This record gives sequence, C-alpha cells and structure tokens, in this order.
Amino acid sequence: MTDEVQRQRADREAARLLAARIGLPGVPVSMREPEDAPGPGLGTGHWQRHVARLSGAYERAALAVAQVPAGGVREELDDVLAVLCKRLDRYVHIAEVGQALLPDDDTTDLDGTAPGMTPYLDGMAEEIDGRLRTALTHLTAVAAAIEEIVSADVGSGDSDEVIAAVDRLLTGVPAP
Amino acid sequence: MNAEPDAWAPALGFGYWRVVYAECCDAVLAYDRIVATMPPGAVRGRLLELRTELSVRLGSAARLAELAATLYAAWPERDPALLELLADDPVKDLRKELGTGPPDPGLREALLDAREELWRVAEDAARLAVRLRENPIATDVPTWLSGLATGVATALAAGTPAGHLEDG
Repeated sequence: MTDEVQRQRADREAARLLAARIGLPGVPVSMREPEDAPGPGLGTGHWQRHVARLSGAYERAALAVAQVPAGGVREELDDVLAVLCKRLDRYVHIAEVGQALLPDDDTTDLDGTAPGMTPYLDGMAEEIDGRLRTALTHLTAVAAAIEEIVSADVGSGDSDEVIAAVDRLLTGVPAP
Repeated sequence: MNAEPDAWAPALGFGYWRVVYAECCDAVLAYDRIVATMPPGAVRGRLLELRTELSVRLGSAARLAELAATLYAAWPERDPALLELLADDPVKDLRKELGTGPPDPGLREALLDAREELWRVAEDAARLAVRLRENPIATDVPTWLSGLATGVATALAAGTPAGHLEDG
C-alpha cells in the first residue's frame, strides 16, 4: 500500500469519526466503506425486524388454518389467508421503502444504532414505522382470532358463523 | 444516466463542511434507493426523470460546500485535531484567537437549507412509493407527482445565498 493510499484512508477515517459526532445521526452513507453500506431490500436491522414480526403473525394464522379439515370452512379460511398474504407482501414492500429512506443494519454501527436498537426516526420514516406497527397490531389480532375460531369450531360444522367471524375481522379493522 | 453522488470528490477537507455535503449526497442516494423499490411503470419513469434535477441541486450544494470549506475551513464545528494543534502552538494557545461564531452564517444556512430540501424530496418520493404499495391503483398519483416536482423545483431554488453563486 502506498503512502498516498494510507494517508487517504487515515483522512477518511478521521472524517468519519467527526461525522459520527456532528450532523445527522450516524456516519453518512456516502462516507462509508462498502462493507458498511446499507443492506439491500429490508436490510438487517429495524425494518427487517418489522417484517419478521409480521411474518410471524401470518405464520400463526397459517398454522391455525392448517388444522382445519378440508371442506367449505377450510376453503374460506384459505381465502382469508390469501388476503393476509397479499397484505403481508404489501407491508414487506413498505418496509423496503423504510430501509431505502432510513437504512438500519445490525451489521454495522455506523448507522448510529447498536444491533437490535431502534433508530432515531422522524418524518416519513416515523410514519412508515407507525404504519407497520399498526399493521402488526392488525395482523396479530386477526391471527389470534383465527386461532380462537379454529380451536372452537374445528369439527363443529358451523361454517357460516366461522366465515362471518373472519369477515368481521377483515372488514372491522382497516388495513394500514 | 446520473452519476452516483460522491461525498469525497470536492476538496472539502475532512471537517464540518464535508459532513454536511455528505448528508446532501445521502439524500440523493436515498432517493435512488426509494425509486429502485418501486415497480416499473410511468411513475417510476417520472421519478427517474426528476433525478437529473436533483443532480443539478447537488452540484450547487457541492459548490457551496467548497466555498465554505475554502473560506472557513475551521468553522463552524472545529476538528478536535485542529484545536489540539492550535493549543500546542509554541508561542501561545491559538485557540483563543478563534472567534465565537461563524464569519458567514448565511453560507452555512444555505448549505443546511440545501440539505433539508434534498431530504424533503427524498421523503416525498418515499411517501409516493408507500402510497403506490398501499393502493396500486391510486388515482391521485398525478397530484403527488406534481407535488414532488414542486419539491424538486424548491430544492433547486433554495439555499443559494445572494452574492455567492451568481455564476452557478
């Protein structure tokens, strides 16, 4: 390594140290080395954790539905799952926008947060975060209700009541 | 094709001005990442067109930062290493020779305005991207696009202090 390259590296490191102290939180993305660049898609931090929780809620619902024997009720519940899957897909895309706007990764501390820590959010990033939190509340409520309905009604054959209950879940709480 | 913003390219030293300019670059990088999350189509195409104007605004921010770094290298956030050097001067502690405020607050404000405007445009792009994902058949997209274009125009107009960039 030449002296010039070493000097440039030292200068840039000094600039990053200063940047971590002043200005916006963390070290600007444009000043980082490639290994500390924002992760693509959902990244490896805050936004990815949002999606992991949302996916967990969906999986709960799917597991509950899987217990229901084939038939009319099962078909209705499969339709509900399909709706939830589409919503989950939409939330994933929204979380990707969050990562694009305000990247957070557990693979670097240069974004201003330690692994697992929630980043400082404001403006649209805070709005997206709020929407995903609302989405999780909704999805979790739907999953819990499906579990309850399934455990109470498996084998009862009262399909109309099950379908009505699930319909109420999907229409009663507006999707974020 | 727009060049990727490079925070290291202008001669800005490695102090405050470099950091603020890098944050301007970050806004444009965020805009690029947001557009990349959007599905192909007319809206994404229009946002890609607007990106050219952001490059122009970033260029103007670069010139502001260069000017500030040239005129006021030690302002307004002083590099601790520089302060140590001044303190260690064999004649006297030169830190006391430094004033208490930036000589040209207008220049600093102009650069901070540019940063704010660029980030506002990135936020508007994110708002549009979320809107499209929430409602793929949204009918109010032209209104949103129009708002975004206005934001870009504002960014282009903002942050140019009188007397500094007449040739820009």
